[in-house]
Amino acid sequence: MSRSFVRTSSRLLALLPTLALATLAVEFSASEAVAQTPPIFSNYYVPPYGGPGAQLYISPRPTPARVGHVYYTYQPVMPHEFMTPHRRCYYGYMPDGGWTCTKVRWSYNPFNQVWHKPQPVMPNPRPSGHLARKFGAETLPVHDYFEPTSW
Amino acid sequence: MKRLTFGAALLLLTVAGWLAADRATAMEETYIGQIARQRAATRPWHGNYYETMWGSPVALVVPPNAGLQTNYAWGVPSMRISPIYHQYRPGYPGGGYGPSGAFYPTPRVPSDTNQFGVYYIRAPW
Repeated sequence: MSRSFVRTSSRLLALLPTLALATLAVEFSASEAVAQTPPIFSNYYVPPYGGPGAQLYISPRPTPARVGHVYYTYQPVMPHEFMTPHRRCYYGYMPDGGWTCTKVRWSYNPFNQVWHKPQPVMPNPRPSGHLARKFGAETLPVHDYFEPTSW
Repeated sequence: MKRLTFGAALLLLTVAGWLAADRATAMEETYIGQIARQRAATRPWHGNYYETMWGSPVALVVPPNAGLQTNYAWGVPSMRISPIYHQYRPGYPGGGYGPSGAFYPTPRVPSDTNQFGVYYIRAPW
């Protein structure tokens, strides 16, 4: 009995690092996008097809050269990176053959719902219940519109 | 030996899953991603109307994981839900990016949200 238990335990122990590696791999790769590190300022395009094309910076039309330009020198903070939660690794290759990996993570704040309770942002002219007793009947919102705390 | 074989198989599966998940999350090799890329290559990103202030169609950047758009109109159908095929990609593909082409102005009484000259394009991954 004890021998069998020991054997099972050792099998499980032998599997644990592999399982942990598998879990980490799946978890890490689940939301990490694969993208080559762009140059210092890389614009993004949609090619024209029977009309004008589109470029991401600066849209909808290019700024004339005499006006000047804005360069994003740090790719992780380009504005479009904040549109969706993601994780990404930016690889930098050194002249001597080495490389670095800059990991970035942009995600929801798990405590946002706890710390910042949604507050009504539009006054309701005809409230009911405790809001009516607190603020009066003609001052509070028609719609219970709450400012979204996550995007 | 059996344990070693099992461990090796599990490790291989892990690596394969890792690679597959990487490719899948990049939305490049998924079925929907392929369809979107193919259809985006055969149609313009804009409609037939220009935005009043700019004089050309305006691209409205949406998150890269936004899949569908909704347009409203008078009549039937009063609401259309369609995929957003186009997505920004790095690399200059050539061509003009200023105002060009002939577009209609927004009608005085618009009958479709497509007529405002603002069209969705997904941000790059």
